Amino acid sequence: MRAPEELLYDSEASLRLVDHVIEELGAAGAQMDRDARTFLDKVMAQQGGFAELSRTLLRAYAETSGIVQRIRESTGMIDNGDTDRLQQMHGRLHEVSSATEIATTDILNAVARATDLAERLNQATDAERPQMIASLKEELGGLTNHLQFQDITAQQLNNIASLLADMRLRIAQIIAIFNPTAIVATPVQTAAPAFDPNASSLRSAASDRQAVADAIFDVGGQRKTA
Amino acid sequence: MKFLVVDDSLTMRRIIINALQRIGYADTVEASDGQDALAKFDPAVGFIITDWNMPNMSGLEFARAVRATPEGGSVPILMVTTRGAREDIIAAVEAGVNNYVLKPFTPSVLKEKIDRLLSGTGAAA
Repeated sequence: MRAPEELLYDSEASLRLVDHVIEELGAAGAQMDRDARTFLDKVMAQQGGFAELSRTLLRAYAETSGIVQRIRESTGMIDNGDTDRLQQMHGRLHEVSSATEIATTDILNAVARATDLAERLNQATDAERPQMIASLKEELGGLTNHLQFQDITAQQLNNIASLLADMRLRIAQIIAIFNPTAIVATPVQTAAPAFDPNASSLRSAASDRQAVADAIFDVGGQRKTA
Repeated sequence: MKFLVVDDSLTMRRIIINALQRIGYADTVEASDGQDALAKFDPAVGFIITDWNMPNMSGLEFARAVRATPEGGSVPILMVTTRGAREDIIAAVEAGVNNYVLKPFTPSVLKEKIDRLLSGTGAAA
């Protein structure tokens, strides 16, 4: 599976490309206006020029209708949900970055405290030593606890990867509308990773939700013992 | 007592098993999803700690499957998950989960839930 950041970069690059093409179309439109006037003058100067003009206009109408139809189909595929999804991905990536930094800081702080305790153990009296060893064990145990962020951020990244895969599919469908012969790489089908789309590494959020869970299970426990 | 620890994250399994060892439970068996856990579940297992979101078989499906076995009716099941919506918690109760811990958790919360379940004061079923 490609890295979410890489997929996000590709999606943004695709959107920039679409924007560039729209700008180019605008510029091409102005040139077409000038060409059309020249063509019109030339055709009308010929014998039977009016009939030729009608045929040309009918052909142009048919082509334009096709283009408009494709634009309608492509805009139908892009809805407000897509921009919401991009915003959601941005928020998730920010949270992953933040959670990684918080966990790293917590680990560094715990290492500093454990190192300090280990150094003080040399000078500690026999009476002080058991408590200090217990504290040292507590700090070292706490180190592994901080690593829970890995599971949570993995779920957040899986969520982002899933959203990006969806966006990639939509872009591929839009490309196919404008150019049915284009070879567009289809998303690789892999076993879907299991993730919680609302996974959060915020301890405060976990505390609030833990209180809700405790309340529900307390009621269940009372029901059982009643 | 043998603990069955079920989580698709190797890191989480290590964290939970380390926490169990620190509070005095060294006999553990681990599984990476519900299917794997069901294969490893036997009468010697006296306590189950399971994640919810896992490939192949979720923790919720696993809890239901355990409850459907003759020896799985009374074994305590503690769910350790990121899913904290009220409807999720109620679904867990209905599946036969006895208590619930939200990630990220502290070892003291884990210990408290295990102690409560083993003393028979914290089980919803």
